[in-house]
Amino acid sequence: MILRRKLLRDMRRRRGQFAAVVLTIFLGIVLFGASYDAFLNLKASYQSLFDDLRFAHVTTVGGDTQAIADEVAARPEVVAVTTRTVADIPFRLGGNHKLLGRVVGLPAGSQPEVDQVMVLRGTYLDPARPEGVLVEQHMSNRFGLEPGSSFEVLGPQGWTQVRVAGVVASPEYIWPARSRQDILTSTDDFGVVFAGAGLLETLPNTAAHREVLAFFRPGSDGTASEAVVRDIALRHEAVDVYTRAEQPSNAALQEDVQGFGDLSLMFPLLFLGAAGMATYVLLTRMVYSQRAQIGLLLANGFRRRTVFRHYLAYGLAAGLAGAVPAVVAGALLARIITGFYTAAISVPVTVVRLHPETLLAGVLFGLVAGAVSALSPALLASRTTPAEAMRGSKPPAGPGEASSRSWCLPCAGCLPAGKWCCAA
Amino acid sequence: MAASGQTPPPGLALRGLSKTYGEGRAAVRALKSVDLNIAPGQFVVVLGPSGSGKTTLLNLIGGIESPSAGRLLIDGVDVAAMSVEERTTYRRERVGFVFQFFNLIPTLSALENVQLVAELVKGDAEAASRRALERVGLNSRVDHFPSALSGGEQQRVAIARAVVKEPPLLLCDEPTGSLDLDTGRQILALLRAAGRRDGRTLLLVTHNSVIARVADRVVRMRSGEVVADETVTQPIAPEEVEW
Repeated sequence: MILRRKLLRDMRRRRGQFAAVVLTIFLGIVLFGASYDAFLNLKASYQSLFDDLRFAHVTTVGGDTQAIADEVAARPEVVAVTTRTVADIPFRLGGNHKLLGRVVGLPAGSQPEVDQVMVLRGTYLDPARPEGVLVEQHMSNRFGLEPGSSFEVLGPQGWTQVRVAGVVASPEYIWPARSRQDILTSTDDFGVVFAGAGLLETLPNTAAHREVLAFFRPGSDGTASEAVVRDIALRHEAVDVYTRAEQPSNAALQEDVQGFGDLSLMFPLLFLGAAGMATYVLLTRMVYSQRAQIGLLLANGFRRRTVFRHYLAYGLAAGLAGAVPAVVAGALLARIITGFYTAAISVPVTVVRLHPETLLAGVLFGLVAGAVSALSPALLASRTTPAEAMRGSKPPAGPGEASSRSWCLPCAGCLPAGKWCCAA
Repeated sequence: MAASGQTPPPGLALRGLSKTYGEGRAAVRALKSVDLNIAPGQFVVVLGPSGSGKTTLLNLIGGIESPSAGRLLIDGVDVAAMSVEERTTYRRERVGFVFQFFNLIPTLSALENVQLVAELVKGDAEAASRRALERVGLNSRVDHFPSALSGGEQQRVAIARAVVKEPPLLLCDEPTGSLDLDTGRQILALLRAAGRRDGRTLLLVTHNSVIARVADRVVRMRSGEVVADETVTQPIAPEEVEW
């Protein structure tokens, strides 16, 4: 009990140094909590969007699409199948800006079974107005296309004007990638619109291809199901088959999100490493300065493990003091970061959740960082020889004599605890 | 605080006790085959110049160092043969230390410094600590921190800390070494009282030959060997000590 009081007062006495350590741990854990929670939130946001809009698990291109669709639809793990037409044709905006656009077929009047769109502004396709199209949000944002605006598409009879019925978000174009080979597509050069059969029928056959989209039952074995659909598609001479993970936009997003997830561990590790070094130096110096006290404790019958625990507790206390407020701050910051991120890349759904596992991991990281950095000083303290500690420094070894430990750890003597270790 | 009421003061028997520091050419023989018997409850002063091995002898008896050779029997039990854990228990239950430089913990008050050690044994640690401080005349300074205490007061706290566990063996290493004459006398009086009153075996190490006259017996050491062992027929009172 009195030892605990000593711990608190020692920390208060060195409050400046401990505050610096606690702050560094705090920053490390805040970074971890904020970025890792944001990473989880982003994944959840994407997943929520994909579920809501029934983002295809597998897409097949070309071949006998009707046969593929029929066979795939008969599979028990498949919930929904949709076929559609997709065409890449030139668009002209504002009279002179041309770009290679993509027209994706949608049923007019109702959403498709798979790969639905989320109408952000305006209305969905109206069968009574076949010239109406839905503009994907990135194109809308880039060119200021809003419901009621119009632009031109190049058909067999030349440039044909279309009218924007609505602005939509699509799970296929959260990141507007043209293809797997062209992921970093500029919105200046590429845009996507969704149109009904009325417009698609006017487009040249050479520009269009047919696709089959399959959406699996939740909980089904994704890999096995994908393999089955791939087999069916290739048997029916599909020219390409790609899974949700391979879908260009999603592949780019997942890579980005995974990078974000990796950084959420890397940066905090740097901070925690710095905090660990600071704690190590601080505690080693403290153990040095308290050698006589340690010797006295041991001489009076304190067990070595008690002394070890006492000095380990300094690290744990610093870790805990930094980690507890940090996980709270991290969780709050994660909300802001998630919002910024989803807004920056136009993800229409933002899921923000409190992740108890991140809170717990944050506290654990703080404790582990504190404990690991305090381990060596605590061991040194517990291995103190009471007689030597109270006598002062140990008499130097004889000439030419080097301790075996300094031979084994030639760099150890450069660190405060290492010097002691080598000298002991 | 009656040590005699709990554990009887130990009789010490040292048989060929030796201690060597270092190895080979750098070896220093601090203690050379010392034979000594100390009766229970005796006040013994170990006298000698610096480097004579008296502190080493004290450390060996206190179980904070291990001998290189020989036996150290406390009531027939060989401390030298004890495991690390057993020696910790021995120090905890049977030995109290007073050092020249007090070694008080600066972040703890006088009471807390004593209580820290009192908590090692069963019972009401705070009450025992207050009693111990009262015995050394510090009942009005219990909440003061070491920085607010004089050298003599700090050494009194150290004495209270040493006796609070009620150890039957009290080992003092130059307890007056950093004190002025008046304070040194007071400390000697307290130590002698702590020994006499509670029937403790008291071993005091010093290089000051005047102090030796307050003891029952004086053991003189030189170069790691006992060179004289005398009984003091008429010990003087601590107040009569002059240096």
